Amino acid sequence: MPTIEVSREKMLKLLGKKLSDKELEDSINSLKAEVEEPGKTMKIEVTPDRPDMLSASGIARALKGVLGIETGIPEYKIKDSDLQVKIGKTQREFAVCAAVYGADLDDESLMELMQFAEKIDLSIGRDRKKIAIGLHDLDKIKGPIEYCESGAKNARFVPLGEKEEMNIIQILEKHKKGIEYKHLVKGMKKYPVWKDAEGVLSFPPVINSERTKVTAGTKNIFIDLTGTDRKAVEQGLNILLCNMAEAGGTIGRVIAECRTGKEVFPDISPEKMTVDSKYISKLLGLDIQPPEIADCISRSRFGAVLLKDGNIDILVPKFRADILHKADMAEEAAIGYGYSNFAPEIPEICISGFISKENMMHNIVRDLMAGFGFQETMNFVLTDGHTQSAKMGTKIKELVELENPVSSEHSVCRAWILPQLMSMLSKNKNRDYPQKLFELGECVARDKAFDTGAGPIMKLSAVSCHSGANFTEIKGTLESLLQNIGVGYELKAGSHPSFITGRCGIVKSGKKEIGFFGELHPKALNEWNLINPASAFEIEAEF
Amino acid sequence: MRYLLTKEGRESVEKGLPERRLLKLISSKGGRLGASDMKKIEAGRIAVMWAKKNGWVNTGKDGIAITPEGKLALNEKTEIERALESEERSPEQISLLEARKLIEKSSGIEGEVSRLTSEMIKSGSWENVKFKGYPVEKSEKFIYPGKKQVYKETLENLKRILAGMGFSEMKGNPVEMNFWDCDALFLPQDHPARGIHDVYFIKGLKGTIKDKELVKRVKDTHERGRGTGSKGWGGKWSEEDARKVIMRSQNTATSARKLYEHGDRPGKFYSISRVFRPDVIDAKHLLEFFQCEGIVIGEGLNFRNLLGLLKSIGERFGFKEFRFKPGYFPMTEPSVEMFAKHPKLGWMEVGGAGMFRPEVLRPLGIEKSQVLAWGLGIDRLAMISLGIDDIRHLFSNDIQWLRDVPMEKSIL
Repeated sequence: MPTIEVSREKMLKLLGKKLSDKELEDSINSLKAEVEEPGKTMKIEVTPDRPDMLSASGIARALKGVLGIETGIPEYKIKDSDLQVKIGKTQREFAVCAAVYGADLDDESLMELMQFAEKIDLSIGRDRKKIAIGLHDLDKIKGPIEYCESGAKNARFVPLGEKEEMNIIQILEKHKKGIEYKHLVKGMKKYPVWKDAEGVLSFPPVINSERTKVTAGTKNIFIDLTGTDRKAVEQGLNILLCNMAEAGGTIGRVIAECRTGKEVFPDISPEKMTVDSKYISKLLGLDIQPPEIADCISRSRFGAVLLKDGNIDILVPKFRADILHKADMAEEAAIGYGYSNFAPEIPEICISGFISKENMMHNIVRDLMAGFGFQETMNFVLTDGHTQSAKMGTKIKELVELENPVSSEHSVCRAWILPQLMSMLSKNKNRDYPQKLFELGECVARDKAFDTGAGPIMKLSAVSCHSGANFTEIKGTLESLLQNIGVGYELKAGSHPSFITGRCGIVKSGKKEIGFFGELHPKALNEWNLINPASAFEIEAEF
Repeated sequence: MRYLLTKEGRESVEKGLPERRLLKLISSKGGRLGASDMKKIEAGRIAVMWAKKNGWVNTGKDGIAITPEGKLALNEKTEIERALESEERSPEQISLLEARKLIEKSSGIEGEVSRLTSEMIKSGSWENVKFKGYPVEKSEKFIYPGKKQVYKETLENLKRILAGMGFSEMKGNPVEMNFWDCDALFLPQDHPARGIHDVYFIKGLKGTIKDKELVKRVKDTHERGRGTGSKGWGGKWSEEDARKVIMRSQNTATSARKLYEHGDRPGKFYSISRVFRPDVIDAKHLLEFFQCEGIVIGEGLNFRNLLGLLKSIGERFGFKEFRFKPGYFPMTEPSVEMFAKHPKLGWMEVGGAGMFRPEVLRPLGIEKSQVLAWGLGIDRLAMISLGIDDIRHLFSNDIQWLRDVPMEKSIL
């Protein structure tokens, strides 16, 4: 989850109220945020559905509501800018822009703004793919502004942080950000750029120009957003602008010439929805009157007007992109009410719980195996193909394999458990013998009976390793186990590459072969560097 | 016929056979002993003779050196050593020990006796005998029981607790598909949690969803909200993507399947199963771990019931003080996180819960009921209960750790 750093002093200043450290922390925790590290600079974690709270002003706006300092939908100063902007066709399809006047940045608010833009890029921007934000000092821009395509060599400018001019090819090859984000412009023949009368403003989604750099003295800001998703780009712009206006700026509207005609950015007129207050009180289990419900919604910074019929007309501000359904409103009302104010009530669903017969059978097996003196183990389902096959002297067909494993050690699903028990024996050679291990666990096999084409199959595997381990011991154990779990079975001579010829058998239940047992072949013991003999069995344990 | 240890036999039991002592000595001196050192060895001639006979050493003018067989023998007992230690000696073992004069026949019953035999009981000769005492305070050979795996047993105990609260187990498939793991749970198809860094995809398999109407309902809900009263996610929903087969990344997938099968009627279910996520294994992370999740289905269930349910589960774990705060899960709204106060560790997050969104419930056929979904951080709780701070111990391959951890720790 995204985390931001906010100065406690700044937060209190934005709130305009004096709060003790604990009061401030508790009220932030009553939102969809958590103070991870308190202190002069607080580290605050924000849930992914609230990008509007990724800046101090956003959190302060929410806090003012729940603390009753300022409720209802915020109104922001907005005026027409006189910027001339043309938005043309590029391969990074969607672009919007706007201005903020009176941002009056100082060192702290500059850092906060940069942090905010970066977090937006990373979170809802999906690391700049869906949205990339460009911020510029408006006073350093000479209009008209244009968003268009440029050849790689033509666009030359001094990238942010550099001293020399570079063209796009050089940026993609040598500049840190160019290397990091070049996958987002792969395959483009012409690249998207923002230009003003003097040259390139930025090359989205990679880097801005040094010329229009935003600094601590910047008073007015030009914001550009580009991306692959129109809705996301517009939402990103709205969130940025509203947060900067919340911090005191005035939003500058831009009328842009787009391919389809004139478009106005931004549109921060609130969305309307109507919700029945009874729906909310029922869902929350609150026995409170409609006016109080409307008040709770208003404390979550929505406009809420109670109608005569109990419905509430709600205004949803444009910095909230997460409101899809009236259930979202119910949560907002709950946050406005305060989660700590709810009285928990155990649901009265009178149903008996039961342990399945399968589970009970599994526990009988585990009890019996422990009774035979075996130590139970638990290994991972994910393992590697070499351990499953070659190291056991056999070849398992049709292992269920991962396409994107993190390491080869965990790249296939286990088809049988015995290799993992052998591996465990090889790691414990300096421990006391005898070493007798068992595991009853899920393996995975291809099976058309499952709608994913593969499914779980329970197996019981056991190995006994000590100087006297032999065929008789394991056969006796297996027979006794099968007898005690009441499974009808038949043991027949058989062969298995991991076992000594003539000292191996298969287990049949009815017509089906369900497992094998025997004395491990010295070749298998060598593979695992074991110097004591071992005998083992493995059977399907589907009861 | 009774046999008693000779003086040499007793010495060998106490200190080890001469050749064993020699072997240990040579090994401790880096594998060689010079000719002058050899003179100082106890029972030197006998030790060297047997050591050479066993192929453990080579001798020469400049001393004695250990062989590869000798090195192996450091960890292995010889037949005669096993015979010495054995409680019930076979005839072969008795011959061996007698030949080497480590034991001798005893004609009468005299001195202290170790074993009470069935003969002595039958004949009554035990009356003329003194039994050797055994040291009680000295620690003898430790006995390892056959034993259950302590974490697995902890999970079984958790199942019993949940059954006692009226929950029954849901069974799922570790090999899942996007449709149940994500789409039916209303996760948009471009959500980062569905990418290759967060989910394992399976080679060569494709899922099938038989119920075409169900697929259509989920598709419409994603694209337009389909009569749930939601805006939906917009865009185009791809059935191809939904059919991709993955390793289950959350147990809520099993809950989604259960809702679909069980239908719109009361129920209480849980699932304690493995989930799989690409990650690097370290002291705090595994790429395969257990989740404990559950659902409560019923008409008229509300947010206060959600809090009450979480609290009652927390109480069952022995926690007494609780705090609730707003949380976020893509498939529930409203959602909550519960913190509980641990006597030593202070406030800690214990679980999360939420009411399934209508966009999840309606396509699965749930119209009247509300569904409370809850989850517990079971690995963390188990680690606290087991007193460990490295999560890898839960799947420990260290036989000694498994042997040493007391089973009492599996009680939550």
